[in-house]
Amino acid sequence: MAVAEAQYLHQDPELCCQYCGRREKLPNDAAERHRYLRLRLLQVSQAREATEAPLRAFKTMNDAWMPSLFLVGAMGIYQSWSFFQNWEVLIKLAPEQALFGGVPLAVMFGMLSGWLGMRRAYAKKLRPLLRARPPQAPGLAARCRNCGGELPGVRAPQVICQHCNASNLLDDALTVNAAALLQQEAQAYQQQLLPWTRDANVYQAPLRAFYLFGALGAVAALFAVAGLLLLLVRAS
Amino acid sequence: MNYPFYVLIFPALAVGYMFFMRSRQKQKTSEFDQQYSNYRAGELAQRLGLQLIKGDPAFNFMVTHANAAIARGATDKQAVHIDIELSGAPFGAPLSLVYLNRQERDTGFSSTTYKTWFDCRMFATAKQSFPPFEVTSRRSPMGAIVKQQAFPEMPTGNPAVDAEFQVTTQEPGLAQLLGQVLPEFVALSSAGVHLVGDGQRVSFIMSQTAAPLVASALYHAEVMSHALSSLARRLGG
Repeated sequence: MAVAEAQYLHQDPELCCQYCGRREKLPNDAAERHRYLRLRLLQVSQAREATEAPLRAFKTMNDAWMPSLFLVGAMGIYQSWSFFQNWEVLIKLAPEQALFGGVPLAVMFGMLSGWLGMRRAYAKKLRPLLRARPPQAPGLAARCRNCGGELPGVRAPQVICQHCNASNLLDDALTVNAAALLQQEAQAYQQQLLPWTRDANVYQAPLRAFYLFGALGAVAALFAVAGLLLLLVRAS
Repeated sequence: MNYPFYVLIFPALAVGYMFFMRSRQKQKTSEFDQQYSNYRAGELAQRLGLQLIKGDPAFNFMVTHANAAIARGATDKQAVHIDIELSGAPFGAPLSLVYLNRQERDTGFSSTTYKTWFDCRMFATAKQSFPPFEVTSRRSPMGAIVKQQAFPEMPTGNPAVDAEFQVTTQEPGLAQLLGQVLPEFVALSSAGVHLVGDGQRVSFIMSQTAAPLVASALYHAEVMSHALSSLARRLGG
């Protein structure tokens, strides 16, 4: 008998025979426990979605970028053309007036550099977080970054987990750097289990503090003594 | 009449851009309505195990401006009137979600008056009566939640709950009970929590202008319905 998943939280799952199709209700306590686990999964999923909500704004900006680029680009080209047409007038003006002529250009290049910065931040900081976990062995399925469940085998840049609905990015790093990614994952688990392995540098903290505060104290004392001597010399 | 060409071109471009954006906005609204179709009254009722008692099953709680009446707005001749009720007992206790949004407009000689009635709440009914109480989030995304009743604040005995919520009631025993049940509502803290127990029903009150906003709160509709039902069962059997 296998558990046939309930579609909604208020529904009770059923036990279903894979051979004859016979269905039975789960016992009440088991159904309640099953519901509790689904509720927790839902809460975790919603908390993740709430945390990742700013990504939607990024996606919207990214989608709207092409028409905006044409509009801003056209305005920028016109402004550049106008700027260079009138440069002889501009150089005769006061600097602040001449600078005013360059403001539209600054806006256009500001938007362009902002967009490039946004893309870079996404690629560097967010892409690794959104990437699926690599398969545990060659030939197995990639795993969900959120719940660790197996992902469906599809050829697409992005795949939705069937267990928790998290979207996962699939890229060549999953195959090229699979070993390194698996090692990182193992390290993360180890750090959770053994907190004392999180940062080896922390054990050097007292010694570092001795050198730092010792040096600061010595310098402060040196200045204090020098000041005192100066006062004594002046007084005598 | 020797105007530079951009004197004519730029206004035309601006008007064209305005029409383009208007059409794009309509398209986006339609896309959002489709994307969040599980928040349409009919589908939300199915998700929560409730029956749609009255109202338009296509009304989308998450994308309200997808509704033609709301997008059009109130006129002197025609008010906006959305009245929806979902009802059932998915977890044993009777549970309902009501949504009323009515806007009237009256254009006078020198002023225009708008009247708005708004009420959105999900409530569970207990079998037996219980002392009244009110619970609000201490921190909510849009400022303090305005209380409806004037009860003294009571400690619940659960420091985590006391840190998250302000529990007001006249019954210390009820506050202790709430300390055990309220942790389930912590999942709704990102939207804000406003619970009112009137002696027979426990209501989660939502607003369209302040926390907890309807869309933010109903994003957690399943959690809310389960938590309210559990609370009603604990309070009144």
